[in-house]
Amino acid sequence: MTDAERIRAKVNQVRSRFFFLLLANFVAVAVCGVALVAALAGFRDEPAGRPVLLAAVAFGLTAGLLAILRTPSGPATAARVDRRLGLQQRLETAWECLASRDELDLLLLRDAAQRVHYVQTSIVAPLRFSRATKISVLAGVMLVLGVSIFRILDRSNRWGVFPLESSARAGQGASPAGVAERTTTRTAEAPKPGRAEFRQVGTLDGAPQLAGRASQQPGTAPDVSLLFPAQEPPSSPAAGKGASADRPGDASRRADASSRVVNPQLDAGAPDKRASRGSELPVTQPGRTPADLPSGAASPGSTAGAASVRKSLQQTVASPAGPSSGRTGGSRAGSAGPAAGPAQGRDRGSAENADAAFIARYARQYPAMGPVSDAVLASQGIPPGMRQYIAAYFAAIHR
Amino acid sequence: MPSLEEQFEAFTHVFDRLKSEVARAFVGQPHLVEHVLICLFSNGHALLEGLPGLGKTLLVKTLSDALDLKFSRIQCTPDLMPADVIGTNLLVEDARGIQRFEFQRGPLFGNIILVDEINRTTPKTQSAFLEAMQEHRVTVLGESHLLEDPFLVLATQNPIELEGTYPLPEAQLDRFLFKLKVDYPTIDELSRIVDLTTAGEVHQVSRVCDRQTVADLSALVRRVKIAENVKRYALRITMASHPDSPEAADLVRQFVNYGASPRAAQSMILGAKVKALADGRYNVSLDDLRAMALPSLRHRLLLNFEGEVAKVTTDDLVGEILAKIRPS
Repeated sequence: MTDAERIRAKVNQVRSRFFFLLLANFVAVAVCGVALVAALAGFRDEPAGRPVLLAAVAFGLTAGLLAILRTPSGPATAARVDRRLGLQQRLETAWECLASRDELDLLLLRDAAQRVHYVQTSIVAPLRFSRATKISVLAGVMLVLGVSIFRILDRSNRWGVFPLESSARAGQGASPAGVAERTTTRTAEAPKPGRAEFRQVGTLDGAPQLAGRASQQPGTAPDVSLLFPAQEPPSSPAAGKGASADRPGDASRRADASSRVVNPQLDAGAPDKRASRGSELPVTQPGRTPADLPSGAASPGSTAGAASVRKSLQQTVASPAGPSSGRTGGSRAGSAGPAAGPAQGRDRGSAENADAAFIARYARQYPAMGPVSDAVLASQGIPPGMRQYIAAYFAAIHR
Repeated sequence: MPSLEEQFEAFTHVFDRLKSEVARAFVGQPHLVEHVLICLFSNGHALLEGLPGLGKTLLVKTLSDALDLKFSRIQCTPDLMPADVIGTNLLVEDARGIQRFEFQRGPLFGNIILVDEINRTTPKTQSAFLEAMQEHRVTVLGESHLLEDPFLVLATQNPIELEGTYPLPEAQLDRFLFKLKVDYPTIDELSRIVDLTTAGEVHQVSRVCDRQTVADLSALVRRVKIAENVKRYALRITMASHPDSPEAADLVRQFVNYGASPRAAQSMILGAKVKALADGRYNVSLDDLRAMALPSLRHRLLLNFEGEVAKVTTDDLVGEILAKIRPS
């Protein structure tokens, strides 16, 4: 092997190491980027797997491309080796004379080859991360931790930043009192733009709607309204008192619950701040009062209530002028007085019969809700971040 | 005929021996000695600036002794005429009684010329050195006379007592390869100087090489390799001395009127080649260039009025340039 070949081999060896070092640096940054994307995926309503996969592919390709582009050329590598080993530009000069056969160039090549022959590439290019990489990785880790901690702190979605299914899950597993408390918190706090206070109102076309401030924003409420037949997911009792309305043998209280606000404070005589807003809420079928609701629908947030609403809506479709069609929203409409209507009388009876009838109705009706839920989830008008919550809600209904 | 490698080794050997021989009579200031030797092997000239009594004349005399070269000294005064330096045609009469003009060579016809206090002579006489320094020849009455190689002009000037002096014009300053500053010796060096000059010790300087060897080794210098990147570094340093250059330092923009000429880059690279050879290398390094930047550039930067008022030195400016320009 000639001196020129030895020099070329050594320089190429160092170049390869530079490439892998650069690749390691960029991959470290890319991993942080992917982790950040994964953490931020909770903001989106799509499943997290796809964006993370796309981000991993994009970051990986970028890292590889950057590593290729930024790998130093042969002369630059020789210059780096010179600087690193203090060779006084011997290798860099020799690299320019590789093809020469001049006597002086041969001397130069021999001199350089002797000096780099026993040099280890790990000495020339030690494995370490650049400062920029360290800063990037640190920033990425801090961002990921920050997002993760924020999500953990906001599991109850108090700030409404994350439309997490964790919130829904927490609602399912929590005690009625806890749910009631949470519901109170949500309903009592000032409404934010894009957030809906979900209240059910009846519609003429038989689909339940949400009433509230957000529902008045174009393109938000009409889609969401299909999903919330009651104020809370049906698997979780909306309020302490509202849950009790489904108990067998408590039909009279169920009837009372139709006009009751889910906030237990209101039951205790606390002033209902929302009552004053009730008149502002859109009731799509004027004239209907909560007293018109069936007893099952009288409990906002309960499964029975949701099913009853649907049944009443079906009945509405069948006979729009029927007096038994339930139109909710009464709990927000400020009608705190007795809400027993004509429909209540039909549902009064034994609790067992009522429950059995409800289950049967729900079982019949649920298959029809499948396409509805799909259509709603495919809708473009759902507010940002709400889609996952809605999906969780449907899942809760299904369970 | 020795091989190229042997010639390079001979150069290193001669250079080291010259340094040690000069150091026997001229105490201290190894960098000054090295730079003077670099000028010698680069076929350049040096302007030595320093106070009287610092050994400038001794340095030049010792060097000529070590090289066995013809040494001349020209003491510049305001009434010194060009003919006194170059020589003149004299009317001579031969044995047959025939009279004719014959060129009588002046002190410029030597190998090592010490031009003492060059700034005290008139510009007319100063310009007489121009052709000799650049072309290595003089022209008298239309007849050119070649100067022998090696031809090394070592001019001195006093930085103080500037009354009645004629500062060298920029064109003449540019002819000097290096401008070297002769500093005061340290106390240890001064002690050795006192011992040498007052104790009656006489140090005979050995002859290291002859004129032909110096000429051969000077030719070898130009074969030293310089990488493209290293060369560009020298060019960038030169360009950065111009105030309108994109890479110019802030001090340069503020205080420099005119930057260095292309001769500065030539001086830097040529000096760096000699230094590389003296260090036993076949190629020029960045450190060589940095070492040659100051003596190559300091007399080629022309300060503006602000710089003169602020008493900014060209050494500061060169330091600023070197700090700013990094090899790519």
